[in-house]
Amino acid sequence: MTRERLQSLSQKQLSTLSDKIGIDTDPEMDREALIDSILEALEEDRIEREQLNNLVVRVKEKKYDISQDEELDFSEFDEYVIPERYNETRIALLLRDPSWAYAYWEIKDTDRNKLKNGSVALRVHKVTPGKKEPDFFDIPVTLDDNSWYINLPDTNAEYFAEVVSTIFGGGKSLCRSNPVYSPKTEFDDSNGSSEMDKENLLLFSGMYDLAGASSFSRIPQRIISMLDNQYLQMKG
Amino acid sequence: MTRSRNKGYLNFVLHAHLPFVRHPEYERFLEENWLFEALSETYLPLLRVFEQLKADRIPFRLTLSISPTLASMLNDEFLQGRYVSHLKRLIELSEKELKRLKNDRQFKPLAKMYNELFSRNLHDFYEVYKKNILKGLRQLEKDGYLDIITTAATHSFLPLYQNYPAAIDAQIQTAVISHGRLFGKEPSGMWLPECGFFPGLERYLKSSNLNYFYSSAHGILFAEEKPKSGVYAPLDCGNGVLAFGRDNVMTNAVWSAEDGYPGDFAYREFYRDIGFDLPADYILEYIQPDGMRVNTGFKYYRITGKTEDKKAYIPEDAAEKAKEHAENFLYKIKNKIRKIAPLMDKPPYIAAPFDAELFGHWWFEGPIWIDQVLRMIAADEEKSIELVCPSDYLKKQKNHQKALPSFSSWGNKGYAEVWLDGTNDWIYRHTHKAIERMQELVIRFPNESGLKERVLNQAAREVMLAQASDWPFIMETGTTVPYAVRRVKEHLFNFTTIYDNLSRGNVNTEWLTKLEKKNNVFPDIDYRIFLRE
Repeated sequence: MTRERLQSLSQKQLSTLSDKIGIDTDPEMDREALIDSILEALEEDRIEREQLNNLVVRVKEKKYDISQDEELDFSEFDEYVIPERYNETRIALLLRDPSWAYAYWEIKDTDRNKLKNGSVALRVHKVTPGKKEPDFFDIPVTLDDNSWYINLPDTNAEYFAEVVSTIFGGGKSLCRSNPVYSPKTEFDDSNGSSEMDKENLLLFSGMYDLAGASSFSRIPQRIISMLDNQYLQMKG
Repeated sequence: MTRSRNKGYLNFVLHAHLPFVRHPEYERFLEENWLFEALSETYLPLLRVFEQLKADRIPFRLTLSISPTLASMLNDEFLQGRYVSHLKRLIELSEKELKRLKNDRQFKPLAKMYNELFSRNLHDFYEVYKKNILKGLRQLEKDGYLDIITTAATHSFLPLYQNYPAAIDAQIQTAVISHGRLFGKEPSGMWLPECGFFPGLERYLKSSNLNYFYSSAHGILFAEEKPKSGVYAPLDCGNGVLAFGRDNVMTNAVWSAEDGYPGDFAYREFYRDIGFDLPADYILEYIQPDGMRVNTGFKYYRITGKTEDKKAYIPEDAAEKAKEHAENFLYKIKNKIRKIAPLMDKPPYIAAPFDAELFGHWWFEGPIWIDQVLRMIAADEEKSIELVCPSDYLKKQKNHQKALPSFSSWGNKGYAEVWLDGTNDWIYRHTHKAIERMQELVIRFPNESGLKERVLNQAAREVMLAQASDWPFIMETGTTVPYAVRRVKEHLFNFTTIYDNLSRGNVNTEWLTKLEKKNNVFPDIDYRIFLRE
């Protein structure tokens, strides 16, 4: 997005754009000032996004970067229309990382009609081996919701989700998802580890620069604290 | 148990990938520049490095992964022709620049540099490789310098499709078949898109005779059993497929613009391009016809940090610096081997994977650096570093620790968050539905031939093209979002149209033929790959 490009847009387009980005604009604001605010907001967004990106992602995005961040869509109409929903009752669960899952679901019209006066919830089950009944917790949702990011309480565990109707305080299952397995985020210490083993693992992790400065800032923070907490204080 | 001498294996992995972008319906199309830029700044310069090393009889060995979509585009006559036109335009621009800068002592040498670069690229592309660089790469493989492997057919982020075995099968099998056709041999291993691994994926790799893949470090470190040698020895996933772990530290020195090599002030600044700096009426023909500013590849400045006071690029200084950085890299590797080798019962295996486009496109001097590193390793008297590929290692080392790696990737925070967040999560309910419908079609039409088979094959192509991980990646990182959104919707729309038409029993031959001609990837695809027993 360049100043030139913004200057070629109509006042109406600029206005829509600033609404989209979420800038508060004064209707009396002149064109140049508006363009300045838009550029500033986009730049802030870009910096924030880049800071959250790791090295691989930051470099990788350069191969698509032939103009300058075309993050906004000016097209007036949708050339390719895809269905908003498929009118079936189903739910799927995707694992995002060990602590987060993403659920998407749909309730078909005939089922929705039966539910009009009731409430629905997203019921998340944690499967514990050996335990007959899984533990679960409910996330109240509305009939208009169709996706959710779920914070998983524990890692190294299996989960599945259901959409339940909670009309009578219980929970009638409307559909059930596939299971997902949240991986462990600690080293397998079942055989015990000597101090030598632990030091070796740090050396062998490929995470520490043995020739000098460490690469702490580039490693997922979760992993550093795990390596440190679980084992030892890293010198220097 | 024999103590290792002070020796280690180093495996450079260059992963070259671009999504399938081909727009014959337009005279010029912006996103086709992804391919042209990569050819001009990465693939052709790297080929020159390799050819020169070969001519100088310098031994080297590295792994090159080329995605099926990229290989298809490099093999496509239409896109080859477009690249030639693109180069000719840039050579013309360089001549204009030479005129404009004829009295400028500082910048004229740079205009000359670009004139030579693009002329050289045209010569190599047209005369040497006859417009198909795959020939050059195949020869280097035959000569023993490169080991060329593949990645998923349309570079799908596989963990987000693990509930669809048929889709995973289709991505892997199509890739292997495409690779065999374009490179004349089956690939020995696979680069997983974004290192995206999920437990169970090893079974699919085994069915396609793929012996290994590369994993992010924490995929190895958090394997089902603790890896005795960390990332420095591959793990056997339990079925003979090996997972090689990435060395973060070695690779970060090369990736990082902040504390690694590419950010050095001697190097060329990526962000200052005459496509943005020069007046529109001068540069118009070389940017977008509607006046939208784009990169031309003519960058005249070196990196100077956050100041507005930009300094002219000096190629000789940059080349010297690349040499210095090559020495530094060698020092780091040897130091690492010295510390680790005595603790292991076999030489450590250091895997250093990179996106190929890092070298040359993002880090302009990257190819010089690679050249210097390879020469220094060959000349090293200590001989502590041996350049290998996984197949070489597997011939020498047989016993591997059995442990299944964990779900992992090399994206932000190491899992799926780049490809599954608020900007792109909307994709998956649709691509998953399309896969289910594709499977339904295979069951309904198990044995078609002629026109119906063509339709079903095109449906399979569209389903796969919608799954490219590039689209959610672009949406998350905000580079060319409208195009990425449009691509996902377009392929889903095409697929759904075919699905609906088949359900009604009619086929629009003219529309189908147009689509086949445009999205002409995977010519020998068989829609039945979506049938999962």
